[in-house]
Amino acid sequence: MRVQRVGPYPIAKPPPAQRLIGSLLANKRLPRHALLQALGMLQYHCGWISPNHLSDLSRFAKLSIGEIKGIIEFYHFLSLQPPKPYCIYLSTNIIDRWQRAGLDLSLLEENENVDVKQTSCVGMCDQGGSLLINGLPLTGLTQERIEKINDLILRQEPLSQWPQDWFTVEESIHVKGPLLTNSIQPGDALNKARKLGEAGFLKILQASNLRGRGGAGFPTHLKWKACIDARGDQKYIVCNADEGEPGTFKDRLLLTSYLAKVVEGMCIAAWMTGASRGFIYLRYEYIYLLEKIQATLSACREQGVLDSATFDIEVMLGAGAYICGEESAMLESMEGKRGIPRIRPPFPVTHGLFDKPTIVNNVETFCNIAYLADDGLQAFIDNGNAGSRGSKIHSVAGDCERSGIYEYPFGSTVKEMLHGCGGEQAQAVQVGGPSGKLVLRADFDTPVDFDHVSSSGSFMVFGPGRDLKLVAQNFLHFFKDESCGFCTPCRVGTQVLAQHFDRVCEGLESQHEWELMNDIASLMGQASHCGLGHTAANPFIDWRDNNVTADSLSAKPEFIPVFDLAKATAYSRSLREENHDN
Amino acid sequence: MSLLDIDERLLDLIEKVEFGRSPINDIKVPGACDIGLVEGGLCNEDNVRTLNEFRENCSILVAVGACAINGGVPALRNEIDLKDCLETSYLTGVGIVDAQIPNDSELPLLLDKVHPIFDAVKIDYVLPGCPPPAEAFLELVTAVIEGREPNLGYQLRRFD
Amino acid sequence: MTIDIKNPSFLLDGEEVPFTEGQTVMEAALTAGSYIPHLCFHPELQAHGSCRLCIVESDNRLHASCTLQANSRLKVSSQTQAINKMRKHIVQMLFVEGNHICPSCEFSGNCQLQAMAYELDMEEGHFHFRYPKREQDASHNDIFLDRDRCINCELCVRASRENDAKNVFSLGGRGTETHLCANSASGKLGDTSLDVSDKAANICPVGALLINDQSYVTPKEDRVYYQTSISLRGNRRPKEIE
Repeated sequence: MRVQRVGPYPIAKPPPAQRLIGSLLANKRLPRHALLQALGMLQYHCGWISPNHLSDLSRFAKLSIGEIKGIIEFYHFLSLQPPKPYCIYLSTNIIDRWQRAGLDLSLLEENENVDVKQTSCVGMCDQGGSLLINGLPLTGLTQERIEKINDLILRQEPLSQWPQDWFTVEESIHVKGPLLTNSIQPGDALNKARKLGEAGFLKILQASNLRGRGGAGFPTHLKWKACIDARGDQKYIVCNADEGEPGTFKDRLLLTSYLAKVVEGMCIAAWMTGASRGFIYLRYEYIYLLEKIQATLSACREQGVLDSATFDIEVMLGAGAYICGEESAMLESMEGKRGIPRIRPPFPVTHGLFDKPTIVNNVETFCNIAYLADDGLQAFIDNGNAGSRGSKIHSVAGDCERSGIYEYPFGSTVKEMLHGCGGEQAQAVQVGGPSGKLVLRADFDTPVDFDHVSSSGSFMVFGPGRDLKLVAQNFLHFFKDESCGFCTPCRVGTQVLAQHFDRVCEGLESQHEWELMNDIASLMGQASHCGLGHTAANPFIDWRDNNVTADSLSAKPEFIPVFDLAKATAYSRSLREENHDN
Repeated sequence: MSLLDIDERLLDLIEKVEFGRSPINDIKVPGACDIGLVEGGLCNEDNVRTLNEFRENCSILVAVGACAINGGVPALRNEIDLKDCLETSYLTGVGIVDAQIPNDSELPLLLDKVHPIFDAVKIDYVLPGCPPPAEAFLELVTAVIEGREPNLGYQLRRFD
Repeated sequence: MTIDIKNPSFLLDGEEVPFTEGQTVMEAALTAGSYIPHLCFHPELQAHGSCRLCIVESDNRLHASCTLQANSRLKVSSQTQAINKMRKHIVQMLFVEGNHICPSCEFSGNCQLQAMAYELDMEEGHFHFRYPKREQDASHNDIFLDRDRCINCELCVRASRENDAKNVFSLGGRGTETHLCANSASGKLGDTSLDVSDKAANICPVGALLINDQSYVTPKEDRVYYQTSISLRGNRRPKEIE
């Protein structure tokens, strides 16, 4: 797929579907698994899925329009509404909100040529004020630039004519560890692994105690062993590049500058398992990287690292859904369906993509595999500690002097990391995103590793003046927006919890309200279907545990009405006043 | 009114309780009271005022019936904006003559949404049903008089 | 406890429940006559695990018993105060999420959601009612779809695919906007091939999918759950109890 800049959207004369998705069609048929890819392309090029395109897709895919709509509605970047010439997405993440503070966006909101919408974190927390326009990131916003953008939009100037430097995403690496310094000659890591043999490399993998870098920390050798042992004529290797945890952008760097290493790691997985096809599931927010990724994959083919006969890699695009970072939801999405987490077991290693044995690992995990194969076991375990070997790449953002990428050995403390980024003044740090943990100043000596506070790579720094209650509120709303809706505790619980916490933020908290929130949090944590639901109440729990004591709770009123009588009668009062005026 | 369905046992009950404000005696302002039975949801400001008076005066407040508990049928209007609701009912709907939205100062101000009484005050007991079975009233009131927890069996906890 | 390989069993609330290879805890329990509360499970369809009412505790974790494979080492708790409190909250969540107005519902007395509320001693909604605006669909000659009452259990979705070989339904939306879709070009039920005799039209545990001329045919007293709780009756539709 070509990612030329589209804008203004071709509303009057949309290109025919066949031209946009022709490469996905086989004998005028759209395979089921290509449906989401087709929808993504139509959305990117046209700004919506028009009724005409919808009926084309229905014909090509032999699915009813009703069913396709059900899929479209699941992914928030896909739209069934006619677009304006431009569409802007603003990230709702608290760090992005702070980065935009002081910028007046009302110009754009009032501009009739553009829709201004909201989305969860777009992975640009280190880029200053930023937004997505017609799918592409635009960074380093200033008031002056907003005014220029507004003019360009008013004039419907093609995006390709806009100043191109506005679209650059500068990678700022502040601390490089072994992963970011090691450079691999194409094919080297795979060759070195091959010399050890399958059993030999699996032993190394086990001895390294490499654990998944996406957040859950599952031992990689166990996952791989299970997939190697699984029976299947076809196996798949999937790279999880759906970096959705708010505050995380380290995979963006790895995909931009270290992709060859990721590919090498995937090749090793393919060689070990006998898989002949691999996929990178890329979040829609990173569509701007697509061409660069395709170019790197082509280069890998030229170098012989990838080839269609043994192992090749394709990119699949997401379409806006945090839940698709959960591996089984991702597989559903790759099959062209709604991203609902599967019932597990069976696990993807035995029943994965298209029900075949599949290894799903995070971008950074594959990087680590390549590094481990290239530099060897000793170099790898020289970093980190017994429970958490190696190093971790962190996306540092928020109230610090130098936001950007930091690679530290596991076990580095929050304090050390704050020192590194000039965030010593912080009152608290959110480690691992909203589903992770809030670490308060008193606990800054806590090591960041799998045994203490585990991280998927997000490190959000909150300075002394920040209201942590609003941070918790922001995170709870994130989960409310991103719950997939499959299971009752999470679908309803995230809504109700956010609603009640809003009242806490308005100062309307009663003992009754707290009892409700405690009940919901406990239910969600224990009874939900997947990890999203299990962790979605964490921001509430952290806030409660840090701020509410038995004494402070009993000092709160027993009950506060849910509605305000004056507000509730405002409309009928206005009618009455109108009446009197007449 | 379904309290009256306890029939002749009302005579025994009346030996034990005294009725404060009720549709039977038409007393408007209740005094201090042991048990308050409240039916209906909150549709207008008068409902809210009355409920607050009950809460202030009653030691035990009981939500009686589906509307008090979840808004019931009147709450079907909650999915519609009040403005649309009034305009459709009184201005633009089918078969309307002399179109105007009733707006006499004697009429209590409507709330934008119908609320269960749980949204306005703390509630001590619940008698579900539409209406609740007469037996349920009797059991609840008797239990409170005897100082024990009411025991509503399967047949007495109905939502319809 | 010794493990009998020929006649394996697991412990459910201290009682031995026999099972056959491949059965889930739910299937084995129901076969043995032990009721575990549930709404989205149906013995003839693929397990779903979405309503979460069938949560049971084992190894200090909660599992959906409809997806938990039975094995001889399992010690499962179901009827504990803590679990039933959570179940009650789940039912309350379903009540506040939709528009469940029992007094005006034709399915009252037959409704499994209502019966579950009775079973779990639910008296009120506990959480704030959402009163969502949801679309109704009266386009079908024989079947009415009232989304106000839908609990997203996907029994009709699965029944249509697995039993009727039709694929009439799917879910759309995300999060709390999740809703039942009719798989037709218009999105209307009347434009699908759904027939009154389809399993999909006769499986709804609540009053969301109603067959037009079958409402109010039975007096209140004769409805499925009027006299008897769901734990004794099981999850049954009106026609299944005659």
